[in-house]
Amino acid sequence: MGCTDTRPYLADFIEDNLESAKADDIRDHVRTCPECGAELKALADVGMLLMEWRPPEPPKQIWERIAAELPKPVDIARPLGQPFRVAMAGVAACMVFVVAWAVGIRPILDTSYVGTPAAQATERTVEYIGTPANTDGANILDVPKKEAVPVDSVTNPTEDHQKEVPGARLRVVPPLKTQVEDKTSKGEPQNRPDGQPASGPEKSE
Amino acid sequence: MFRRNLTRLTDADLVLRAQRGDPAAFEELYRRYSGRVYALLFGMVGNTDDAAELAQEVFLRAFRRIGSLRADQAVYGWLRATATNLGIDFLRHGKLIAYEPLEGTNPNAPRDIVSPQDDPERAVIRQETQEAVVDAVANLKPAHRMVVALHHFEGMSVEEVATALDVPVGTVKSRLARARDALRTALAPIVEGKSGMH
Repeated sequence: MGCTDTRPYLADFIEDNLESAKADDIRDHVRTCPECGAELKALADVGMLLMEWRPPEPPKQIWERIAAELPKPVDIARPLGQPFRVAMAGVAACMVFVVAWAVGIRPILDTSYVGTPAAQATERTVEYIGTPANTDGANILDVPKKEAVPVDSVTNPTEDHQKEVPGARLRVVPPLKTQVEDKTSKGEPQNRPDGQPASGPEKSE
Repeated sequence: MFRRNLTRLTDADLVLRAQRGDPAAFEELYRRYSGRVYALLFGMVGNTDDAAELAQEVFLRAFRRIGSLRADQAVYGWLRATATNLGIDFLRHGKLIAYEPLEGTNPNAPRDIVSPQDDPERAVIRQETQEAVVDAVANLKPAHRMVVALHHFEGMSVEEVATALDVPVGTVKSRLARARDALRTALAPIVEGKSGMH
């Protein structure tokens, strides 16, 4: 097989596109022919040169055109701007003020306030528990309000808190502190802080 | 979600977001794959304007059909199949394109990948080689250019190229061989210069 017969098949030989018998003939010739060997190497180097191929960068206009055809974006990827941060700061300041008002500032400003929440919890409260029993036209709201009684004057609140207030279905609710003391003292009269013996059970009128 | 967070998401997450109508997720997919899609199309059609127009069409079709894409499906494989089909149709029928030339582009100018380590003389040679290769590929016959793009640039096997083009494997090999002959001739100074250096 001569050079003229071999050259046209060199590229096919590289691409493995020849019958095995033909490929063997080409291989045998190239081994003995420096010129065809050089040409085979040059063709093989084309493959290496193709690795140098680099396309241009895609133009930015491509995305601009695509974006123009897309539905209106819901811009969740956009960073929050200065106005949003200012608004959030305002909301946070309002929340701080409300909390401060509720826990600290309000009791100070409220002139009708007579004690701390803890002190109030030790006083008895009157609780409405039903409809008025009397039918003589007396309004339930006309029933004299029971004044708060200091806890240390209560000697047997277990009886006391069960009594109903005449004229209205009201009952005296013992404060939490009294209930706790009741459990520990088992109803025994206790001394007042000033050393005087406590009086008997407080009766509702 | 901020852009920097989108870049951390997987393709599957981005597909799910895009299916829910989040254009930012679709833009991130575009950012990830537009270069490869454009390169494939540029290799197939041989000029920047047609490649840009086809790449635009690939992504618009992808957005319209994103609902049919499974989250676990390879996004690029899907885009490549769309790009290949569009490129083949374009080369066969020479249509689709009704475009305005892109402004500010240098047609067929290769991407400058000159390494900073290259000395100036070597950098010039490298740049010239890249330009010569791009021109030589662009001047191939369309059928030859297409197989070169799919096989050499995209890394598809000869069998995959044959399937994509719906031609026998032997035809692909023959086209590759003819393309190699043509490139050998077009790049003779460079090829012989390289051979001389060995």
